[in-house]
Amino acid sequence: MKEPAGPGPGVHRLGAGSAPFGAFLEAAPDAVVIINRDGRIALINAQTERMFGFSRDELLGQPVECLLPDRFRAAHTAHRADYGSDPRTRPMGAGLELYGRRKSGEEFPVDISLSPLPTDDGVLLTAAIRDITDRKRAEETRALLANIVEASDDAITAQTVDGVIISWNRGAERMYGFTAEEAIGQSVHVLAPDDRKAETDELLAAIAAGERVEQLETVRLRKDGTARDVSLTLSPTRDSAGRVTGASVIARDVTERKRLETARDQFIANAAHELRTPLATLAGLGEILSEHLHQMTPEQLSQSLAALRRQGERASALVASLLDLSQLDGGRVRFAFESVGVAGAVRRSLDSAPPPAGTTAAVDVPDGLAVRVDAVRFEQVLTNLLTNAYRYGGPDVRISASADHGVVEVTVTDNGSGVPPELLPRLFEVFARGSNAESQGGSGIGLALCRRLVEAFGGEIRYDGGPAGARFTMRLQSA
Amino acid sequence: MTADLTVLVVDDEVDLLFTISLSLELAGYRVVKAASGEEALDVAAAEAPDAIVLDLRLPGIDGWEVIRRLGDKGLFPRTPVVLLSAQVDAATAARAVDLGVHAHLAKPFSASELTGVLAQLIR
Repeated sequence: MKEPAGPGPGVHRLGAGSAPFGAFLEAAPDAVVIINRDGRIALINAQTERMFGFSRDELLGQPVECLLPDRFRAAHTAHRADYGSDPRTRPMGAGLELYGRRKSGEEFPVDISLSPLPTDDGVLLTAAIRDITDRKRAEETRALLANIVEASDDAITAQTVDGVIISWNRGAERMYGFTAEEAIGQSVHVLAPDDRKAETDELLAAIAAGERVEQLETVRLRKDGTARDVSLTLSPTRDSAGRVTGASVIARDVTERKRLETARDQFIANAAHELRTPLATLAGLGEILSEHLHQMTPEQLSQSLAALRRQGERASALVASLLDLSQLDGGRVRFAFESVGVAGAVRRSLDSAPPPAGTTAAVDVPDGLAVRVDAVRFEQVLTNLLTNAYRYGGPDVRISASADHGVVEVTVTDNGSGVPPELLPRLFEVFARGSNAESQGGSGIGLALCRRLVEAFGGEIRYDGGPAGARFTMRLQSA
Repeated sequence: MTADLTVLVVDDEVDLLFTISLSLELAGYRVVKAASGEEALDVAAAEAPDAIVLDLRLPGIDGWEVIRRLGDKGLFPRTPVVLLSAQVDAATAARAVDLGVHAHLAKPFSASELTGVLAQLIR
């Protein structure tokens, strides 16, 4: 049976179709290559021809390395010798990425399993080769998607139709405080507060019915029991037969956004309210003057003009303060820091905001005290504190200053009734105004502005007055 | 025709109190003023006005409380009240209707709007 001129032992005897297992080889899904002890190809099936692009005649008798990329050929020859010394059925190169090379030179990823095949001519080697290009591509796609899911800040989870959590990304770990290990296997009900359990059941029913739920705003609980506002998007997941198997859920934490929205709405409502009072006067007097000018007495006329002027200035000041606040909050204010004498700044503030009739302002500021501030903004703070004292405080206003260990304290006091206790916790917040301030035209912005400015100077401002009068103290760096 | 009619105007904002009063005086009403709820109750008792223009937000007792105490004195709802508020939200409007407040205007309102409402309320 030996073929002396042939490509090698066993080649013809095992030719496809010539042996009983020839039909079996042709039916195999994999490319099957049988190799003799010299490493030459003794038999191939038709799948091998299709996979590698070589014809049977081109391969028979050739070293099997012709099916490998060049860079693996030398090593492969050595491996093959090793296998020959311990031939067992096993996957080849476990854990390694294996590649085949087509006639065209194109490489492709393969899985190979090796089996010894005892014959009369000795042990041959069968290699079943599977082209895993599609599987590799799918794996890469899956890895990419998994990376995207893991990298997301949103909580991306999956659950069964019964609401059992089966997948939990890092975003979910951060948002909910449960690790994947803790969450997987739990019911999604653990994430819903008591008053949202019914909603959770409705969501599960919607998913079971194959419905998608988009951007539902609801509340979810963290592991520590704190509630978060979340926006949920649920999409049914299906098996290959189209049956709903559960849902993928994307949850975005919108707590901060909602808080900001509420604060913004409140701010706008307050600002509108503050503007409404001067505008009511401006609009009312505008109408009266245009309709009744000739019926008005000189006294009515001069009072009207004075009121127009006051309320116009008040509306302008309010808008200016709002812009100041917005610029400070946006970090868009540039400060020109310099050494500013406290006595001079106090004098200039009193010039621009002199005490009204019936009120006196006493100054007790030693010469030579200087602070490191923006001069214009420092006077703005002083003017605000003085105006507050005139409006809400008693008739005796006093400004004093002292230095201690590199810190200058500037204090504005009055002998009024002090800040109402209910206002104290929010005194330096925007629009935190006492009911007693309403009548006196305060904007509710002044102290908020003062605090932001003083903090921008690197200092602090506090209120420590009592029933005997208000007392505001600034602590600033000495210069 | 309105010269015999007295209207009490209650607002803690000095310039707005002046403006509302001026528009009513120019429309021919006699105007008495109050800058707080307590003062309004005193003036209402002393002057027996034909109508009251009442700001809701007042220092001390607010407009709601003024209406309640006017009721205790038998002055409300006998005396028509025009309530002024910064905004007419649903809750405020509903409460005003429940109390039997005769009219409710949101600031800023026009002078002619106010005099029109008063002319209807005082016959």
